[in-house]
Amino acid sequence: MADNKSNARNLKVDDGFKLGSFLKSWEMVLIYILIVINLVLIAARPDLYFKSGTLQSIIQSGMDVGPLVLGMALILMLGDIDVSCASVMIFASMCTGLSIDNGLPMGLAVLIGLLGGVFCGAINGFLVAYIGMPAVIVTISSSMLFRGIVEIILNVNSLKNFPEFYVSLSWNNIGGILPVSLVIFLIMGAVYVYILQKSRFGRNLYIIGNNAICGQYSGIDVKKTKLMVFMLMGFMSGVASIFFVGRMGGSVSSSMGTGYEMNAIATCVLGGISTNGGKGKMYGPIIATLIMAFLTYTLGLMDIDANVRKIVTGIVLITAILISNFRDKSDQKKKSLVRAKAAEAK
Amino acid sequence: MLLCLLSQKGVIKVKKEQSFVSKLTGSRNFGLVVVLMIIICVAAVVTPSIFMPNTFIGMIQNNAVYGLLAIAEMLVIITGGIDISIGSILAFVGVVTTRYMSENMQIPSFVWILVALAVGLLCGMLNGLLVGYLRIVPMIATLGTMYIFRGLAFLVSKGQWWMPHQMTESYQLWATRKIAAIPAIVWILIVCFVIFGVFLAFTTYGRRIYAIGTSRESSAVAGIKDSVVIFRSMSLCGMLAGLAGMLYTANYATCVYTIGNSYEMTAIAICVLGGVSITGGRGRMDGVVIAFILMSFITQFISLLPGLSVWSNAIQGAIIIGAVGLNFFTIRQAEKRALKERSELI
Amino acid sequence: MTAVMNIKKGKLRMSDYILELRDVVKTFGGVTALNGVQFQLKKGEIHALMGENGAGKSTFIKVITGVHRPDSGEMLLEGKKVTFKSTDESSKMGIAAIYQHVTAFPDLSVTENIFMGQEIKNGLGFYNWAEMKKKAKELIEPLSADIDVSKPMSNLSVAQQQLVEIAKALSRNARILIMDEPTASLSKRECEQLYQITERLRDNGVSIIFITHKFEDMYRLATRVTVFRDSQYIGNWDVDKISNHDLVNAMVGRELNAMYPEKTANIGDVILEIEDISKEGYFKNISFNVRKGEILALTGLVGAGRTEVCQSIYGIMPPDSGKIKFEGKEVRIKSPIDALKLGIGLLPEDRQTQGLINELPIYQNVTSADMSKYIKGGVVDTKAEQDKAIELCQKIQLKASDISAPPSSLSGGNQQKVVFAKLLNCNLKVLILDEPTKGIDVGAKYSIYEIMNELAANGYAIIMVSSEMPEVFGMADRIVVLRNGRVTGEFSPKEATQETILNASLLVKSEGGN
Repeated sequence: MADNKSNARNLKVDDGFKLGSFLKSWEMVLIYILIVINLVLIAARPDLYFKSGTLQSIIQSGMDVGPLVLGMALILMLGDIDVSCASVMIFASMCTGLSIDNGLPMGLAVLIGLLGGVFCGAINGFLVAYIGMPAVIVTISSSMLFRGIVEIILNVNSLKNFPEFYVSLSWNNIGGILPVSLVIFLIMGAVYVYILQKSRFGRNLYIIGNNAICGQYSGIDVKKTKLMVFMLMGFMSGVASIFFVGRMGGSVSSSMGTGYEMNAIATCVLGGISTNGGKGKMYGPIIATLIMAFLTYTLGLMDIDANVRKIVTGIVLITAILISNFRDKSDQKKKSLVRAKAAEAK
Repeated sequence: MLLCLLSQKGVIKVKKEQSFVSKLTGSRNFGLVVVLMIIICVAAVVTPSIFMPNTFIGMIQNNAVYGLLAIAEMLVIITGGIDISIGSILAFVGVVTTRYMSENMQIPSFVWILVALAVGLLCGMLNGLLVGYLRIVPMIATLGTMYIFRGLAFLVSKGQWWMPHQMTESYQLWATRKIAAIPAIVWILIVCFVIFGVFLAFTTYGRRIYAIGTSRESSAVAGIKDSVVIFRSMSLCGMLAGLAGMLYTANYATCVYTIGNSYEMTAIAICVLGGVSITGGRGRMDGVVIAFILMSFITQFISLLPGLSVWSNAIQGAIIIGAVGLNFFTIRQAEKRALKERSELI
Repeated sequence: MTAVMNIKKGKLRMSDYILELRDVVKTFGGVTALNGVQFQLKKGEIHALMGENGAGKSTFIKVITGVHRPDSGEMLLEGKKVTFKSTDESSKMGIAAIYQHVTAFPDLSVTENIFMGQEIKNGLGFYNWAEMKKKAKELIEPLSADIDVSKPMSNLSVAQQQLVEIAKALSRNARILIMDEPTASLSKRECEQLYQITERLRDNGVSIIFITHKFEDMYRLATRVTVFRDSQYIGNWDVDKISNHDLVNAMVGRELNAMYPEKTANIGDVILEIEDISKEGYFKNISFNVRKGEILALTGLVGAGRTEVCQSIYGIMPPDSGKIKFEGKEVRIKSPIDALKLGIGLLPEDRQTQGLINELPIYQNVTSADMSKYIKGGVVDTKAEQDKAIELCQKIQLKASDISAPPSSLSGGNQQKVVFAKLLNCNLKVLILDEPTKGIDVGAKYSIYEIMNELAANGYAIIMVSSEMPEVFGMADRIVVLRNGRVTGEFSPKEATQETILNASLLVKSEGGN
């Protein structure tokens, strides 16, 4: 929203960047939240916070879900949902792991993993876009299917042969300071910002998410766009598998990674993407990914059990939604007031 | 949809159209019945033992919890919502009743049924409050409470695992006591199917759930408050999930805070398979009962085949996609037929 | 103001009016929707309420039915002051409204639709189906014999659904019935049916407020007419004592000398030829052509297949058979993408769902159908986009202050202009305009006509779908009439009369069964 306002022009061209509305935008609110969490952390455990390596491990702990968040943001933008991405992630890991077990070269194995993800995404996308089935149903059942396939193939075994760079990507820091995973996440984030905010494809997503019928009448290939977004989600699930396997120390089994899809959705929603489609910006989910990492870690430092942290996650999610709903409402009121004044002036 | 469009144009002769619509409604479960038939035929050849009365009853007993959750989910889906917190409610309530039962063995066991209903109802009311009155998108609101209830389940259980010897016999008998050779949990399920079937089809309140799911706007004009209906549906849903939680622990005589993980997905799958429209306003109990039996049948069938238990998820997923896809296909065919009939009039 | 009120109070005998509103004001967050509105409804009369879109009619109904509460002013029901907090309360007092868009539950039966919200039930909350069905039948049968009360609502035509709505109102013992543009999407014959039923209701003592855009409705039914303009009460008259001209002036607030602007276009070569196209279930063997600079009207009854023909040409639902020739070459249009590439654009019938994206700024709406010009190095050049949008909006004289505002902030006529700007943004040669002035008030219509003429003068070929006979005659160079999915005639407006067109639209066995 902030961007639009800053670009706002009258028909008589009245350009101007409005600092006030920029500072009040949801993305800025997220940054404030991030700062507050950091301050709390500094106040609570200054010793730990400034110890070298702490910040890095906080950030690293939240990066494996990052690619899923990016992919999910576009899916939600369409007004669809994908609850199969965690299963796809495991499926992709299996593809890579099995390839290596069968003696394929590393590069090829990684590629096969990514393609495995794209393949799963294409199935989802085809059923949603071309058959017209509701995305929730398709992805719930395909989630069972993809994880089921992993269960059939791996049974109770786990795969242990993965490229070594998987682990180093997830755990290493550039120059001992900058987490590799953060750099990669930010690069991917920048690409996604380009896709959604700057490219024609992104504009089409906004159009479809708000009014798919109008999109069709405006000459947008709605079905193809949907298919592509789902394939992108599949690809990102493949990328996530690299970080996930790395975080797990280079092994994977069929029961891992459950609940990642919900974390990804929650992060997107916290980032201001509406599940009804067509609303929100890419910056939000990127900041929200960091917030989630800090939040989880801070609570962990306070000796709060992982399961209890879920309560906090839940409350944060619901509060965020309530606040943003409230903001939307007061925003609308303000706008109608402004409009009324303009009408009177005429 | 299409039909609605066609008739709005007022071109079709009403009588012809009616016969066609009744055909379409008749075939809404078409895909489902076909799949059930195929599975039964395969099962008859491969594992005839599945048709022994005892095996059959055992199968229903093992899956009864899914049946209860499916009813719960159905109440919410018909309003046009969704509740993904029921698996967590199940765990929370299960933990609550089990823990306090094991600590207070002298209290008569029927009290725990009441406690389960009450706690479940409270959980449901929280969901209802968030969705009905605070207007949060159902998927997101229940995603939040899903985390919260799961966390609460852990808090109450303190991570403890309860074994059969920690449970009073009378508590367990709520699920396992045989009445006319049929276990209590199955009786309870049957009673719930009947009660809620009648509730949805014949009571004012039940019909208003459909009205809300069909059109909020029309309901408002008719003087129906959507917030009230949604609040009550979600409360009832929580109550049923609570009942399922207590019966789960009684039936399996074990309890830990992780039970019921992703059971909501199976419940949603059963509903959709049973012809409940994910967009609300449609779906009948008979379809859900058939879908429940089908799902139980598949699980049982697979477990009877040696070494195939890992296939369960994949096959269930594939079957849901198949059955829903088949339904879409039959609807398309019906639409084509309708167009042909229309052509004769031109 | 008070003086006026006193005079009025002195003059009237309270019991004359079943419903009276005095100086009602309603604002929404600073926007005035009703500004000191007066209204009197006599017992047992049909009272027409007219005014342009946005004149405040809809808010007015909602105030009467209790959806909104007025900020000030009073409402008298049979001389007694009342205030309604909800629709429940107003319906208990015998006030019912039939809204413009039928508010039904398509999947539920007719019976349930009638009784939803006030079900007949036993002590346990169970439906009393038998009783409800019996009552529903008693209510429906006098209105229409061929509605089956146990069938779902979706089986009925719009006209029939409206009858169900009337039955619903009657089931609540309505003494005052408000009908909001009930004839908007009905065929001639269905209108006539509705007129008769409305009259019958009046004869049974129901007082009716009939909101409409159509003068025919008013002349046929009403004894008095009240006009609103710009949220204000303009006046009320006996229908037989006010001329058509004065009424239009009252509604528009200015003299409308020429309803249709002068045409200046030169008609050139044939650009689009439609040969024998058919679509199963919609239309058969449709042929016509359109020339550069020409406005071709496609008319006929609602439901004759006009919109479907347009959608077929535009590629929304490509025809099953037949040929489409564009500039002499046969083309295949499988989707709107193909159509736009060739240079064929469609202004859709329903601008809210098909033409506009109300959540995105106006300039993004304008550029949405052809973004290719604004892509620089893979990035959308927002500045260029806005400049072009401003240029186009100025060209069509869009009344807006801010093109980054959403279209929902505009009036209907200006929203339609945004859709026009969206078409102008593409390089088009043929424009298909499906009901371009539907739901647009009288004043704004004229400027739409001006735009159309200018486009024709610039060499665009225009296919205009329209149900309004005067519009067809005022604008078209040629008229093609469809009936029940077939072309039944092609006329020149100079030779044809409204009657010949109507005959072609209705012809022999007419449309289906109702």
